Amino acid sequence: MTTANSRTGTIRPLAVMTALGWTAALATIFFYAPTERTEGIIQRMMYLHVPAAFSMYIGYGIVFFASCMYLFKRQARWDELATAAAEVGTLYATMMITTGPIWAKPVWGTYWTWDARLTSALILWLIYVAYLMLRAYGGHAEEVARYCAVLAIIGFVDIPIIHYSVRWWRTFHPDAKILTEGSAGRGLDSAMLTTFAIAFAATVLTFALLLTLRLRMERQGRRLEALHRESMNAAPIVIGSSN
Amino acid sequence: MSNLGFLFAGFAVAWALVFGYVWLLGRRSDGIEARIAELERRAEGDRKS
Repeated sequence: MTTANSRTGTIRPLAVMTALGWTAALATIFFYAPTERTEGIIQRMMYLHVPAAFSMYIGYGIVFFASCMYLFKRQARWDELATAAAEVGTLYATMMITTGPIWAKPVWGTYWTWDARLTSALILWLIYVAYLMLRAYGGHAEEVARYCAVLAIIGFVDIPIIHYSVRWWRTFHPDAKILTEGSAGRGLDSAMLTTFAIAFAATVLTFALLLTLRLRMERQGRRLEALHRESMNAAPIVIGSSN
Repeated sequence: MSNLGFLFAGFAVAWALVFGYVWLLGRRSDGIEARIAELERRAEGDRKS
């Protein structure tokens, strides 16, 4: 009971902070941030698209770390964390690859182009969709956990490729303006940078809230499975005999 | 579509994804609660018999 209360106690302040964060973020995005000269109003998509991409990096970073820990320690808690973070990370990856083309259409004149940044991002999304499908339909739980950990580690290799693709190859996608070597936020107006910081904080708070909820559900689900197995062993109910 | 339309579409998609996911989590949570209730009923039945 104490544990359940303390968990609810984590979620409530996180939910309040997320709501406040988004109120501030939407106010600054639409009423404080200046309109960019070249792209116009559509440039405000940056406050949604870029934090979504960073949240995806955080999510898949957690999956990578938890998967390594699971392979070394074989403790279920690392597998639970990897499962939850993979799902929330994929939500943000989906957000990134849907808002990107919507931003691209009025700026580039096309929703999609097979350049290195977009293609490597799509490959990462497909890898983690495969990961989630393996989780859902893989069969034996321990084997699935092991295969998923290996898949997550292989998939994570794509993240530096995505991040540096704009420097390694000629791409439509612009170079990073936020996370740059030497000076963070170089090339951004100070009001835009402030707005970005608030939107980024709100997005990361949302990510933390969703991850907490998903992780709690994963643990509840696994505990329930264990209880179910125990109850079946204690009092087996025979529905029908095949042979 | 105007640039404002694209901006609206982008924000709508992002919020739909977040709220859709929260709805999905709620549904799964209901499923877990239903299974807990089923286990409790079964345990109650075992105690009575």
